Amino acid sequence: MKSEWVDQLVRYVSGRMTDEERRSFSFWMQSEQMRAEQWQVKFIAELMTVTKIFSKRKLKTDLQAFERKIELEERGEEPKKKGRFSRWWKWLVGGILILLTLLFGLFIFQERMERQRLRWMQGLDLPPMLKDGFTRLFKIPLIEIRDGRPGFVLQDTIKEMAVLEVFQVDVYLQGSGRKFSHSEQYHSYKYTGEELTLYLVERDSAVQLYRFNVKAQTSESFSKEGELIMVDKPALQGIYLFMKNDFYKIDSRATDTILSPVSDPEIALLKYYTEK
Amino acid sequence: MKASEGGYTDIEIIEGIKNNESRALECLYRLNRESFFNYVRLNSGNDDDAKDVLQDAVIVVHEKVIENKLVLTSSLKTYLTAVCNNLWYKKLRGMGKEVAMPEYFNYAIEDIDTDNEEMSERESKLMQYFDRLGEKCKELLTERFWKNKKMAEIADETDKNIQAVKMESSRCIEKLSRMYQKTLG
Repeated sequence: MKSEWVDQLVRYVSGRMTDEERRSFSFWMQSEQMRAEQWQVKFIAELMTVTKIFSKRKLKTDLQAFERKIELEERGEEPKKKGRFSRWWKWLVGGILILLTLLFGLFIFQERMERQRLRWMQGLDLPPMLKDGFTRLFKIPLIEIRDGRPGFVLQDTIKEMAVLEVFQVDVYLQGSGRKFSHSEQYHSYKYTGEELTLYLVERDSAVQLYRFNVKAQTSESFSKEGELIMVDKPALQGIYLFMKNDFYKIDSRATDTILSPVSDPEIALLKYYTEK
Repeated sequence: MKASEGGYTDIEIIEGIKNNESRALECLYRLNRESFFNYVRLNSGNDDDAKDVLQDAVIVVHEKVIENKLVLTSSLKTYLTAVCNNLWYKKLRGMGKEVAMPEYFNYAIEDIDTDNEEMSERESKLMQYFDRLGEKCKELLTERFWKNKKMAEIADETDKNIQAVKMESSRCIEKLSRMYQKTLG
C-alpha cells in the first residue's frame, strides 16, 4: 500500500480536498498506475466507511458511559473510577485465582494418588522374621515407618559407609501362592543423599512366600545381590537366601548373619515354590 | 469565547474533540443535557428517549468536527440543541406522531444523518474482518482513515516513533486486506 497516495485518497474520498487538489488528484486517478491499483482505491473507500462506523459505535459506548456517570452524580453516588490501578487489581486477582485453582487441582491430584497408594499398601504387614533376616543379611533395616507404611530406611547403613557416591537399590516384591511368577511392583531408585526410603507397595493377600531381589552397590564395599525368600509353610519355615544358584538358610537365632546349608529335600521344596 | 461547560470554551471543546480528549467530549455531552431532557419530557418523551437522541446528536457534532465541516453561526450549545431538536422531531415522526416544528426553531442544519450507516455487502464483510483485528489496529486505522490524521500526528499522540507507527499501520492494513481479498477471491 503506497502511503503517498493513500493519504490523498482518504482526503479525496472524504471530501476534504480543495477544488484544485481534487482536480489534480482526479487527473492522477486516471493514470495507468492508478488503474492498476483500482481495487486498493475501492478498499480504502470501504475502509473509510468501516472505520467511520467503528468510530461511531465506540463513541456511542463512551457517551453511554458519560450518561451513567452523570446519573450516579445526580444520585449523589461516587462513580467507580476505572484507572490503571483497578485494571492492575483485576489482573492480580485473576492471576491469584488461577494460581489457587492450579494449586488446588494439584493438591486434589496428589491426595488421590496418595489415597490410592495407601489402599495398595493395606494388608502389607511383613512378618517380623522376614524384616529381621533382611536386616541382618543386607545390613539394611527393614522397618515400618510413617503411617504404618512399610519400607526400607537406609539412613543408618549409608552413614556407616565411608564413601558413598552412587547408591542404587533395585527392589521388587513378587507375590506367590500357587504361581510364583509375576512381579507385582517394581521400584528402582538412584540415591546420592543421606536418606533413602523405599516402599513396598503391594502384596497379594494369598502370599505366603516373599522374594526380594536387592542389588545394592556403592563405590566402596557394599554390594549384595541375591534373592531373599521367606517361606511360611509347615515343612519350610524361615528365611532363605538364593545366591549364586545355591540356597542358604539364614539362622534367625544368631546375632550375626549365619548362612546355613540347606538340605536336599528343603531345596526341592524351595524350588517347587519358587519355580512353580 | 465564553467558557461554556466544565471551564471549556467552544473552541477548546472542538479542539479537544479533534485531539481525542475524553474530557472535551464529556463537556459537549453535558452542554445542554439538562435543558434537552426537560424539553423531551414536556414533548411526549421520556429520559431514555432523551439519552438516545442526545447521544446521536453528539455523534453528529463529533462527526462534523472530525470532518472539519462544522460551521458555527452561534454557540456550540445552540448548535447542539438544534441538532437534538431536529433529531427528536425526526424520531417523533418516525413513531407516527404528527408534530409541527416550532417556529422559533429555525437553525439551519443540513444533512443531519444519524441513521446507522447503510453498508454495502462488501463493506459488511470488511466490517467483520475489521472487528477481528486487535484494538490497537482498529484505533490506528480509525485515526488514519476516518480522522485523516498524518502518521506524525498519530506518532505524537501515542508517544511512538513515526517509523513504528508506519510499520504498525501497514501491518494492520496488510492483515485486513489479506483477509478481505481471500473473500473476494
